[in-house]
Amino acid sequence: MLKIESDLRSLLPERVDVRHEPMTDRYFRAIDKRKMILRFGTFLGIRETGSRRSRQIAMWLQHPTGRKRCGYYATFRIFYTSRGRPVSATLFCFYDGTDKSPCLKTHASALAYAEDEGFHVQQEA
Amino acid sequence: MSSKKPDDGTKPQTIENYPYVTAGRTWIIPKVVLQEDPAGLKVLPGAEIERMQRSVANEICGHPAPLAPEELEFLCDTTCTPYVEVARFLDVSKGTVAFWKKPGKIVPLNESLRLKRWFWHKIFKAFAGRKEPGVPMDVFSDDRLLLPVLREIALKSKAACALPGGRQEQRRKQQ
Repeated sequence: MLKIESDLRSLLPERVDVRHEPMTDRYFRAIDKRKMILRFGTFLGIRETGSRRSRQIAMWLQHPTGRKRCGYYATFRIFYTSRGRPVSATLFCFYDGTDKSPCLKTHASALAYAEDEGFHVQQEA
Repeated sequence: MSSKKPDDGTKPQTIENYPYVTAGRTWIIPKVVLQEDPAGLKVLPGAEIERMQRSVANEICGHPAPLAPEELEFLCDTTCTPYVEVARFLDVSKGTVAFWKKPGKIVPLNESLRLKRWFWHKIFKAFAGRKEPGVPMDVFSDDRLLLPVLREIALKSKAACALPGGRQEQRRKQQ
């Protein structure tokens, strides 16, 4: 597990915020799926933000009923102290196939999407 | 709406009667405080989300009615409980839980009551444990009597807030 992934998973749910501009039904679902993604989601990739105090990470969680339905794709911005300790994160992007958002049913499709979005992805071993 | 600047430099914004869409309906949260994250993005803070979810879970679990599929999904998401764990707890197959999740289905009453009690304890045991409530012994044997008592315990412990328009509130108005 990469450090950034363990940084995100180590944060308490109270420290993981959700973007609120504007709050749509899809982002209410992001609120509900937030903890499941943090706990059971698969790491996709990292994107630099241009700041040493924050980095972005893309995660994907398969739909509980399997590959026939859209999974949950989320990107988080993790914020660090000057000593490199993670303090909080913001879920700022969430796709689940609703509201004309991308429908990513498999890990491979989520990985390809994250790569297109500029994340440095890590292929499965 | 009001705003004031806290010590950490972020600007909070208080919204009253905030509509939270989850578990198949819109819940009205009396007060929610939005903040800005260090990058300046307006966010719903994780602590507020936790409080909102506890309040909704308390309203769902505190009412002795069958669980709707959306309510089951919400409780599973809130407690990070996979459906396989729900099936194991009830000693039913995964297929049975999947069947209950289909739109228009409901979880049978007995299983609903067991699940509500189980989920309530998952969410509130840390809060209720601090102050042991005085619950009459005869209430323990009947989930239909116990669940509304558990709801009141969560409200008294301040772990959840009463939601206007919540099921209990609707019942009181009807009475």
